[in-house]
Amino acid sequence: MSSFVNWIEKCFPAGDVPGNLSGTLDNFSGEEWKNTNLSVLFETNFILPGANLKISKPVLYFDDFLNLVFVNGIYSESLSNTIVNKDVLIGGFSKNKDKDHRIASYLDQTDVTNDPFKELNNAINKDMAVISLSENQIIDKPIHIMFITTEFDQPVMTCPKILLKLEPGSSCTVVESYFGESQGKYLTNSSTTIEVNDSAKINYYRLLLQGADSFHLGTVDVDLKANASLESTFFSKGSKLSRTELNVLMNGSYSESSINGLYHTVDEQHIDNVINIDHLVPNTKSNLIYKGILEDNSRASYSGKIFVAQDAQKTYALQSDKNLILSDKARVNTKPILEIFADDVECFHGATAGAIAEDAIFYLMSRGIDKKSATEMLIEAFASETIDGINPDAIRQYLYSILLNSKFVLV
Amino acid sequence: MLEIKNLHAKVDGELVLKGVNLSVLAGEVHAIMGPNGSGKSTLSNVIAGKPEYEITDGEIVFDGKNINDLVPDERARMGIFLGFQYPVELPGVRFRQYLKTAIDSIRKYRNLSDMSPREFTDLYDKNLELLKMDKDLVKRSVNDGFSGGEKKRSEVLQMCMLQPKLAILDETDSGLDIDALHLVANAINSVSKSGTATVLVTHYKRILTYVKPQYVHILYNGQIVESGSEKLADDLEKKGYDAFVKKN
Repeated sequence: MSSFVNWIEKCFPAGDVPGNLSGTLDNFSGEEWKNTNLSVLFETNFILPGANLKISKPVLYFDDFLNLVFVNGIYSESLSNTIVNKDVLIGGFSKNKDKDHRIASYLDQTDVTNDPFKELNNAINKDMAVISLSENQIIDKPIHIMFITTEFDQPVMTCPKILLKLEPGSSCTVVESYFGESQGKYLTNSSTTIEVNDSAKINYYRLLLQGADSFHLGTVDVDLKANASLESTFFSKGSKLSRTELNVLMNGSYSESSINGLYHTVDEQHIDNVINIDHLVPNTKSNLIYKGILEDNSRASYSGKIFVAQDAQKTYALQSDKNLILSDKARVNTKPILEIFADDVECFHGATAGAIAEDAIFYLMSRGIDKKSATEMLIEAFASETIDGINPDAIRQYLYSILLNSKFVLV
Repeated sequence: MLEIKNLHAKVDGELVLKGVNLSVLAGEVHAIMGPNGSGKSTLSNVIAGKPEYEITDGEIVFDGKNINDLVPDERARMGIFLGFQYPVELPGVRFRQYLKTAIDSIRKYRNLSDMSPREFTDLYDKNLELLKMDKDLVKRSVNDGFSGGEKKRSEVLQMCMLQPKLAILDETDSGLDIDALHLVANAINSVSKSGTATVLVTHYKRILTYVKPQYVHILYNGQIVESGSEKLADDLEKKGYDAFVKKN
């Protein structure tokens, strides 16, 4: 595999390598990168896109949401609903333009990380999406953060950075979506930080809907304090190669996380989900339920690790990964892991992979429903458990519509 | 309506039906009885077109057409309904959407337009009432988490909704308590009165006191070894299968 540093040096002209990326070590040998083949990515030279805000309303734009639109990493004021007051900060901000002390403090946070792609994100991200709610602030309208990549002659890379900070007792619904107008190659390397303080509540939906030739590498770090709650759905469909790493720290007693995932792959696509949920204190609860629909020659890998610290008694943790394999050539690599150091816990894990049940198809056909419709009905039913958990109707309906527009090879 | 001639069928390489002959006319009720393993469920599944069952000889003629090579959904659209012995649970498949799709598929085959939502709701409510089933069923997934009795009633509800020309009910009476049996029998009678040909596959005479068959057949070792009137079921109850098998 060509190395990260070589790749960076190819992408950036001599002397222009941002930050201290030149010193970054390849750090992909561990278990968590085992199933992601970065060589195709490293073969491509990406440039940073110039400003190109000429975009009409994006496809997934809902007027009754609060919308934050980022085009090629740059915040579009005109398409967005910025809110800045003493209690609420919602918008796209950058150090140069925005003097609000809160912004400065967020942007000054430099994560110490040994993840090269996070370093890359830190080095080149432009405008940062920020949702920051003071104590007891409740935002009723869903907030939709959109990252759109437009058409370029050359492959481009963008590094979205998102900060969701909920002070005690606050709550909101956030949809973070990635899509591309470009059908060509592009890389999105995103980093999301979610801080949910005592008794705060977030519904967080992350939608990967990028072009067939795109690459997506994303990290989502969640920190849940006492009584905090995370309801979340991760939906992925599109990219040639995508990897999402989700790290959840159950850092306060009686915090709860419910995380659903649905991935659908076709052609030669590869999708990777790496999830770590750390139960660090007593009385926390996590539900992690992923599902995959795989077609053609596509690949998926799921690695979910539930860690329960020695002090984290009365932990409840459930995880499962279920896969519908619609082609002989599709493959899934699934690895649910439990690492438990406490002795009074309830933890469950499971994984399945299989074709659509023949007896279910026969049952539907015996009612006059043709095989194609029967197959679609069962795939939709499989996906519904995940999609039905999404709260904004408009998003749920949209996901159903794109799911059902799929080709679905007959079994 | 249904004419089965010298039907031989294999499942998993084993010959299970070894020359079945059966003729059922519109509006008739036929009961097929037989010990475990005699081929009753195989016969039901072969008529419905279950893929792993292979017809090796003979033919099934439905509505004047040989259906040996037709796929299950085509047979269903022509008017064949199978009430499953073990109804399949379909989590996530909404009962209403499923029934509506099935009805409209069958209507399309008959060159009818989709049933209006209103007509559907009326028909659905009427049949739920007939079977004394919970209205909330419509919000649930097909058979998902249903009790054994609910599943069987759900099969009969589906039959009432789909209004088939031929209904094959594979041990629909098993697992029903006496009240449910009454309701199910009522529903079968009402469908039968409308002209549906009915084949009741059963182990027990009990249901035949509520649904009067014109013919009773004994299936044994893949063949119908005896056919007679309703009285045959009484004889069978008294004498057991051996009495009928030994004659052959």
